[in-house]
Amino acid sequence: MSWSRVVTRFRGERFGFVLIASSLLVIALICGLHLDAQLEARAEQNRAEGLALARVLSTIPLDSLVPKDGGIGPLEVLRTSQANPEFAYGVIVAPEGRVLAQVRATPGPLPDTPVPHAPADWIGERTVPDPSGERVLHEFVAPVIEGGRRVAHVRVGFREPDFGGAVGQASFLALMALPIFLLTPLAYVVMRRATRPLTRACEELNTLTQEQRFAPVQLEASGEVGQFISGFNRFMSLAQARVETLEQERTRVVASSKVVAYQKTRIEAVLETLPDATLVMDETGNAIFANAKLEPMLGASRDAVLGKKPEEWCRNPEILALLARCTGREASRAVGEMIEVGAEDGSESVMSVAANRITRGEAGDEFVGTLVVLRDVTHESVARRAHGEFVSHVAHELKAPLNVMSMYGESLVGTEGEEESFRVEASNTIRDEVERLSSLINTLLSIARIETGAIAIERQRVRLHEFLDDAVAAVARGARSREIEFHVDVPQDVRSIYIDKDLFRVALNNLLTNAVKYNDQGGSVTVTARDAEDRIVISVADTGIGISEDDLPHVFDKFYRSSDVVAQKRGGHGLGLSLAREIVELHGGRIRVQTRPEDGSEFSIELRTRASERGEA
Amino acid sequence: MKARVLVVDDEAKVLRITKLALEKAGYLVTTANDGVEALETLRAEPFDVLVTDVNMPRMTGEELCLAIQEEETLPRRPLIFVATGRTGERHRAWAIELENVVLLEKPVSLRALVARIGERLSEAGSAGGEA
Repeated sequence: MSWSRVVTRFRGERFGFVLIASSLLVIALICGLHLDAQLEARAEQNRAEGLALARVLSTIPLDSLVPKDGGIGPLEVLRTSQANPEFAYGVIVAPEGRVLAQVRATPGPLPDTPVPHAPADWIGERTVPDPSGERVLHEFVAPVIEGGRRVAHVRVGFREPDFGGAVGQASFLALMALPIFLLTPLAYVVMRRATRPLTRACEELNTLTQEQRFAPVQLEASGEVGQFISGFNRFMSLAQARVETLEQERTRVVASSKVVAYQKTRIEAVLETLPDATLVMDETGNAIFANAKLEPMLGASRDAVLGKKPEEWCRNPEILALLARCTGREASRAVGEMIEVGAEDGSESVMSVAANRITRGEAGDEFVGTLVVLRDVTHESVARRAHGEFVSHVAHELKAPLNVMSMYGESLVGTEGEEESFRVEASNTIRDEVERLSSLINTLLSIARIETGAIAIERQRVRLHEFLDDAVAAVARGARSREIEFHVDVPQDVRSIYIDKDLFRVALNNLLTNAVKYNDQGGSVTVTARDAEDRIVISVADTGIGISEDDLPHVFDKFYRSSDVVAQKRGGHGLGLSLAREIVELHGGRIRVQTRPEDGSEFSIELRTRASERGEA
Repeated sequence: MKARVLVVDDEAKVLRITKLALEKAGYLVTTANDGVEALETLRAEPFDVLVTDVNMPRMTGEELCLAIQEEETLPRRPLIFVATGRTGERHRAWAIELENVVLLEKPVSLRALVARIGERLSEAGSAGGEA
């Protein structure tokens, strides 16, 4: 058994030990007190007996006290009849100290005490040392008076009573100690019985503590312990209820914090998904959110931006000035502002920076931060410029025929107009220019409608053979003077196609007029249609001047004009092929060109038949 | 002696009617189809006046004017009239910096053109003593 177990055991039984110890203490105390009282009583008794004895002996005449013939005197009687164990001696001494007679309980020398001289001390009690031992003796004295004169002195000695004399009391003491000793285990048992519920409650509590749960202690007990346990259980259920409330509270807090976290994540995901670079700054100008698109726009990583003020990461003075205007409570009341900033690296890219003040409160006057959205607007910027160029081009192209008409018109009213031949020439020229202008305007309108999506293609079933014949015939009429031969090579069994007839006629017409325009006098134009597996290919080939290598990639660009002198002389506004391509692409088709300079060009339109049929359905 | 005018345009109809009008006004007119042709002609013969279009293949009117400014060996530096279909500062800026260049906006009035040429020639004549 280890020491700690001994200690534990001792602690468990400490009440028993305490009880035994206290009962022994009580027994010892009682015995002590009893013996003390006994000794006291014996001393008192001895004293009374001694005094009485001394007096009685002093009244006996000296002759009787001290028998001359050595017979038995009263002293001898005293010794033999004396039952008192403390009796030590009886002595008759002469006034000068000589011993006249003596008796002793035990052999040994008498204490050498002088006879009292002063009459006041003749009768009394005195304490004298015992010559044979350490114990003191009580001596009682009385004078023997005869004839008015002291003739002797009686001395009677008693020893101090001791425990030895009390040994006879042992059985009495044992009898007295027994019930006390018997009461102890009884008290212990009663106590153990009384505290047993507490012990069991303690064990249950230990179990509950180990299992980490709250529950009332299941114990039947009466009295104070019962009251204590029921009080304790009430407290326990109170604590349990409180803990449950706290648990619910905690669950709710955890849930709501999860909701908040989820919402935050969702908002951040939304901001992250925005197509534009997004930055949110708090009211002091510190960046609190930046999405991944910010880095390519600003050239500053997210880490370099977050938690910092614009001055620390932004090097563009225009953006800095904008952010300064839209940050801080003292900033302007404007809701937001947007600027366009060119790239610093010298590229053409342009970005728009919009800074919006984020406000809160009913009046929206509590400034809480700034939302900054950066967008690459290079495309828009380029498109705007292209649009400007386009308008400028259009104006120029429109003015060219106007210029010619104006000049001829002016000349008609001058002296030139008097000549018949000039009037005919002017009239023809003006008519040609009006046609040129009209055709240009129509083309522009078609392009505008297609590009803005305002045009809805209305597909219908078109028999290719007839469609191509008609288109070629119309162009051929206007090209008679050029002596150009037209060939249409379309198999009779070629499938019909589903197209917007009017629009497609424009595209085909542009290809055919180009084939005429860039052809040589007496050249030929060949139109073919071929039924491939899933597509129909219509091609227009000419035997004209062809397209130079430089021009080839640009033939479908708007307003693109060849820099070749020969081609330039053929006129045109540079929109026909662009429009043709737009129309073909609107039909889901493709237009391509093959050419050999000086040998002619071949433009092919590919239309997927399945797509065409689906369009019809 | 008749003043010599060089008309440059890529449109044959414009060349024809302008030539007609200027000849009627008493000028000796030569035509060219683009800037390159015009510059060659200017190098070969002296001209008093140049009337040019802007938008032309090979060499534009703008390029032609700049080439004339830089060319030091021309027989004569002509007065230049430029007919442009484009308006707006961007398309005029280049002409403003050049001396002897008058911008005309399309559609050009032939009568006004003849009048302006006459004015400028008489100004130059009174200044330079030659007409």
